[in-house]
Amino acid sequence: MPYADLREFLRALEKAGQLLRITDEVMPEPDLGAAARAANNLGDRSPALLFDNIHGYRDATVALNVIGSWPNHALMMGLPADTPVKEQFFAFAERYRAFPVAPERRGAAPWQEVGVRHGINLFELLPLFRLNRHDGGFYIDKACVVTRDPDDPGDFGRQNVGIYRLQVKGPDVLGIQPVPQHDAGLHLRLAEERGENLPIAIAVGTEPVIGVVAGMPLAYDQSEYEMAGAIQGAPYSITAAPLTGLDVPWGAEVVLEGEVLAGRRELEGPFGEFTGHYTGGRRLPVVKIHQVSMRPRPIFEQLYLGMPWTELDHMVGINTCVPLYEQLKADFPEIEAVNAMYTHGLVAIISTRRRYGGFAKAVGLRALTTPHGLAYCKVVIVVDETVDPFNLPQVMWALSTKFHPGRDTVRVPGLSVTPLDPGSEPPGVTDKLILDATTPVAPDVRGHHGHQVHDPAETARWEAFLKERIA
Amino acid sequence: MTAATTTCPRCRCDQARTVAASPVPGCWTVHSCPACSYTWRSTEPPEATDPERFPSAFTIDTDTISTLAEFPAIPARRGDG
Repeated sequence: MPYADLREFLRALEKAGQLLRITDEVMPEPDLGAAARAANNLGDRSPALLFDNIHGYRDATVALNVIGSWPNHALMMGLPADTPVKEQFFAFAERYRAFPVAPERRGAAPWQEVGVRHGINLFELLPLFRLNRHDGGFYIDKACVVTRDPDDPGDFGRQNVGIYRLQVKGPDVLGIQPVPQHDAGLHLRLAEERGENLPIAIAVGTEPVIGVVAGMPLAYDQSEYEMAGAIQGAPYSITAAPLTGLDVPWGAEVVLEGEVLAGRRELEGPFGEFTGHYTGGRRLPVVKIHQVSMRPRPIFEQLYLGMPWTELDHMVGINTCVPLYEQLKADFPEIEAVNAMYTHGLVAIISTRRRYGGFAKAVGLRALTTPHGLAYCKVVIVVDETVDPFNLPQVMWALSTKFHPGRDTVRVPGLSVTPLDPGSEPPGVTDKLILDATTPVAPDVRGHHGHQVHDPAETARWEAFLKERIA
Repeated sequence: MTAATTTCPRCRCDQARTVAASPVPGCWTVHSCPACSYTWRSTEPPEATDPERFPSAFTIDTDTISTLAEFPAIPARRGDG
């Protein structure tokens, strides 16, 4: 830690037994998408997949499921592969507090070796393929998309790095989905208000930390590069892209540069989304690519997504929990941990001590008004501090035994939610629910919770002993 | 490459172009529709490539495209109002 680039991380995964090379010939469709889906279906310890023998291609390499499991997420953070999820959460939270760490600007980057400015054809330059059977085309869906605030282009913190779905619609044309709540959506709105195109840089195939940070719900003026430095514990290496001057990861495989065209919207999609449903049938902004810079024989990294769990759920799991945890803990020091890993936090679980009766419901309501809660947190389950929110059997036990449907349900009508939530009606509006599964405390005295069974003495010692013997 | 045209399996526009051919000659071609942006590879199953087999739930009527919602909405230019 830190990893210089995707290749170094793939070597670390292979050393840890978390990379599977597929050298048999595969079809671009359906094999690549199917293999990534299958890896996710096998559980939460699956390896990254590296394909180098794809029918019809010469010299093409495709990487999938790179952070698609908890061991790979731990290795992304430089932790041992078997680090439990809750420990990864607390390690991430500790590093989050080190923000900001200034980036390191570096000169010549490996992706500058090959440059294409004329006759750009992304279908020929990259081994693009269809992920899910009803996707409207071939997508680039794990690239770091970089834009600046058109009203303040010199503000480094307002430069945004995000991951947005990109449909390759023509040899040098992309469709992009910048949700208005996200920073690129704001940048585009400002550019269109000015009547200007929005310069854009797209980095494909990066070391893993920036991809995870790009999917974090950060404040508008918080730099993803300064956060990546905090998470990896060392300054993040960036290089100015040659055409736009936008800062991109030094270690990228491929960098595309161009403009989002002001005032243009064209049909995009559908695309199988992280909600497990296709979305599309709308007219979205259009990107014109003017320059491609890349390594010789670049690795094309792509992400499978669909019904959870997929690689996406691992990428936006802990990185979503931590900002929520820090924001809630700033108001309520009683918060123990937050698990907002279900469909990017549409369902969230908070464990907390109770200050007095009714406190847990207030904590749940506060989650709805955090920046991420404005678009997520449709259902918030609150549990005691002794319940591990990452341990779903324990959470189900709390719901089974602590929760009284008539007394512990708070329903708030007509709140905002991501329009991608298929249950929202109209899209972007939903009722939200707090389920208080904590033990009632005074003055909310009720139920029969006085005699809970606790672990026998020495259980923790036996856990450690058995773990060592079993391993 | 040469822009041979074919019929889009999704919207039946007859101006879909060949946008790429496999680097290993003869393996496949990729096609893209200028009307609805649907893209497909010749080696995909008929449900993705054949207008007669394309699933009806995912077909597009090109006459309706201009009526679809813009997302995000295009804002007014500063000073325009």
